[in-house]
Amino acid sequence: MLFKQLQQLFYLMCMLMIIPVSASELTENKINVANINLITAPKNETVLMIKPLTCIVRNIGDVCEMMVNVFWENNQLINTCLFQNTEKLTCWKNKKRVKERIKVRLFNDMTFILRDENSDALAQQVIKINSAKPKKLRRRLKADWSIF
Amino acid sequence: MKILHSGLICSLFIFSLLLTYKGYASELDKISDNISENEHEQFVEVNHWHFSVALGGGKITNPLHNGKDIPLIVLPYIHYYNERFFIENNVIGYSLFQEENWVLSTVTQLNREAIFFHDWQPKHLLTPNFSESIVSGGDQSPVSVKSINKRKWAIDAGMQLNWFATDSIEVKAQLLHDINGVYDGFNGNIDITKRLTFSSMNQMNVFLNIGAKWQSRELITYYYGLNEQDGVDFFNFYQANSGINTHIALSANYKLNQHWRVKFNVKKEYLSQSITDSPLLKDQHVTSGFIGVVYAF
Repeated sequence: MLFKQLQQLFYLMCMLMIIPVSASELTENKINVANINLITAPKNETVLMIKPLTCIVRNIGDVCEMMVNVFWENNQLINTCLFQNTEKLTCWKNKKRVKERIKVRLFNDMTFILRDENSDALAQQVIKINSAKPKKLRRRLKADWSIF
Repeated sequence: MKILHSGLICSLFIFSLLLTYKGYASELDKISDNISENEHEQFVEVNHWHFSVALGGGKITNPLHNGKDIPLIVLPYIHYYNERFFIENNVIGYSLFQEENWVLSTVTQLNREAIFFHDWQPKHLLTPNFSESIVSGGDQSPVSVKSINKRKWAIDAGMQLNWFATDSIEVKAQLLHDINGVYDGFNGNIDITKRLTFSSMNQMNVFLNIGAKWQSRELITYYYGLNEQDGVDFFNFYQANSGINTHIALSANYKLNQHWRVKFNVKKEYLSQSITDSPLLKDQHVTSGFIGVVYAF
């Protein structure tokens, strides 16, 4: 279990090192994914990486539209589709590895799932929405239950 | 005692599980953890509902003859704030003035006193059964709470002043009157809370609280007074004066991660002589304690 997590951490670190992109660079179509082929998936496992992991909107509740980098890899040729929650976004046939840029539209935190032809989930990743506006805070007037 | 014991074991078990789980806390948890605990306690994000539930064991002792202790097993917590309006558990308020170090609000909340006149045993709460041995049922008393008229729940409303004297000391004062015509009187209280932090354990917060509660003659007489309507002997009739209860409390919580924390609190309240002189009373104080884990949704 621990080994598996270390593996995933290693993949994530590799991705972060070889794809140093920010959200703004992505939206300006300046991304280069050529170096991704350094990563290999362990046997019978699918690696899915979607960048960026966060979309910044002006206010919470605003719709986020952005281009994301999708990378997945499997050791075998497979038919897969990428879903945004339950909505199918795009599909690939007989592929072992895909590097592609797609446009997504989010209203709130969203899970992206890579499914095989049997609809089994192979891998998934969450993209979160954050507001650029600082959270508005006020003094808390803390009170326990008055009956205690 | 038994419920405190089982609650303690349950909490320690869950605590040990959570310590193991903590090693896998998400990156977001770690970022959130880096925000000062003090900020979490003193300020709150507006327009955001916060729900949490505490699970553990504890009780509030009942000072009345034949009154049953109140078990604490599951405690829901809720708070919500917008710019002026707020909800804190059963307190609903509207802040009229908010300055840097003080806030003046109107509040409405449930009055505590009726709690001792109702049966809170597990069979009434759909919670696991526990021994009747914690109930002081064998006492021979001048007047048993079971033999008198039930006292009604009162809803209080009034003013509340919060003064943030320093970063670690908060003073709260309330002056309230019941609004549903139950006892037709006033009560007021003042609480001073000192937060203790430990540089070596920044996930731990400890709060020391002392306070006093003044209750009007009408309030004490309604709840603890006795007259012919209670069906008691003439010699047990009791008409109270106003009085002041004092209390001291200690609470602590230890944050495990973004969702889980361990909570402990104990409180001792010394009842005013106006209350303890009532033939209904068997104890001069009320003790409450709880230990458990809290999950924040």
